Amino acid sequence: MTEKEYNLCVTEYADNVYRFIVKNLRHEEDARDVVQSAFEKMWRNRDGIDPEKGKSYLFTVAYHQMIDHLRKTKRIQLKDEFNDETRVVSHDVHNAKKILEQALDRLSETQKSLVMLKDYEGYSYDEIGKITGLNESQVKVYLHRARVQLKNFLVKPENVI
Amino acid sequence: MLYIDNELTVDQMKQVELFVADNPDLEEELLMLEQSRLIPDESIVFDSKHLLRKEESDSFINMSNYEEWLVLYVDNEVTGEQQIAIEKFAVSHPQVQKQLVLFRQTKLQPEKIFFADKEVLYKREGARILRMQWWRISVAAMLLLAAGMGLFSILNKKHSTGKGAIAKEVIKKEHPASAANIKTSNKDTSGNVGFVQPAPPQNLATTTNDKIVKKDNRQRKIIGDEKSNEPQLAVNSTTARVVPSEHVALQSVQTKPPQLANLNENALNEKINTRKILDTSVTYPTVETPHVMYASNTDNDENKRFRGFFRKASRIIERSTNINPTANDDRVLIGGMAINLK
Repeated sequence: MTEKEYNLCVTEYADNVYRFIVKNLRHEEDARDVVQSAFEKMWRNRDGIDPEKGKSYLFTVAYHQMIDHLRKTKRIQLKDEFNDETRVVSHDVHNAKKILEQALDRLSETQKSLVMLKDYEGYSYDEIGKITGLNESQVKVYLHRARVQLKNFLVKPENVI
Repeated sequence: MLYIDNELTVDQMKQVELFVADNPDLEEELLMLEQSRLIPDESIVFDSKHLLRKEESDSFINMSNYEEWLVLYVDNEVTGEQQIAIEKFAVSHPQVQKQLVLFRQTKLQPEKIFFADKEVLYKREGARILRMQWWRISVAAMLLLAAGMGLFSILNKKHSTGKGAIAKEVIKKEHPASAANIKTSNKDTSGNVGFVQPAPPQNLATTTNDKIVKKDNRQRKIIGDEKSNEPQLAVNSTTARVVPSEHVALQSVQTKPPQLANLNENALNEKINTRKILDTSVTYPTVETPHVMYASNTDNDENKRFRGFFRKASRIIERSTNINPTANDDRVLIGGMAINLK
């Protein structure tokens, strides 16, 4: 990967990676740090990176750094508790997007990441498996459970629009 | 314990039961052991058996597996044919259609989130700097110094030999008898002909020429002085420079002594002519052209050298190929090809 190809990756994928990370972490500064770390790693290893796989490389690195970050900070557990409380308070908010976000917050980190990689980035099960380190069958099962969970949350009486 | 774990045969179990009946104090202990056994909880069931079942009909959507197919449909993980089959199945089953709508609602819509200040991510490759070790630098410096000194000495040598040749020619012209001495002095790379010591009458000419070779900058001044004091000496040096044809003649003089007499006569005639010109004092400016002749002398030598080299090369080619490039058949051979001139 040349300097030009690297900078093209910045232009094209920085927003995507940042969106993926910030939606998982829900903390902008931490998400920026993860994205910067991912690009730094890409720059250091640019000689061995296929330019066509630049996006997958970035998401793979960013995903694993995000998992490491979550393990260190345990931020997500605290957020989950906080969101459970806010969810009870905001019962009257019948907005499909917000309800879906609430439903998303109730998923496990892995499930949430899989749903985001699928819906935001349009990766196939195989590609998601390579990014997250899972096999295709695991991705399929996790996503199936996540979809069913999201659907069940949407059909709950308090969440019906 | 074996009785409790059901590891005994029927007869052995009966024997244990009879023994416990005969000993009522053990009956309570057996009861406690039986209560320690875990009883399976039948209420716990695996509710995703449909994911595990494999049937021939699984290759197609049906009422037992439609949920799985709907998820695959929403995730765009189905082929074109499967997509059409699922849509048809959903249309024909309202319950499935409703589930399909709900699954579609679980799809996240991309949000416009941007990474601010991307400039921090852009990179530029810096120029690679090769660091040299101190000994490499010193070796390189020494080589450059040596090359510079060599070049300087070569250039200096060429310059001095050119001047020496002129000086030699002047001496030859004035005193052909001392030609042998000059020839040996010409080998001196410094171009200094100072050690040439001809006969006393010739001393003045030789020393004058030495001054010309050694002190080029002072040359004109010296000659001018000599003009004023001893006009004859100045004439000697200038006549040799002004007439290039004499230079060729003088060279031939070295190899052909019989012609020396004629040359001396010519030189004397020219000397007389030049003296006449100098005496008139009108022709002094014309004498001030010795530097032009320096260059022409050396250039001619080099041209001759190259000419000789090319002649030799062409002869070797002609001999080896037996081809005469300018044969009498009205054609010229170039690069082994014949071009007809007619």
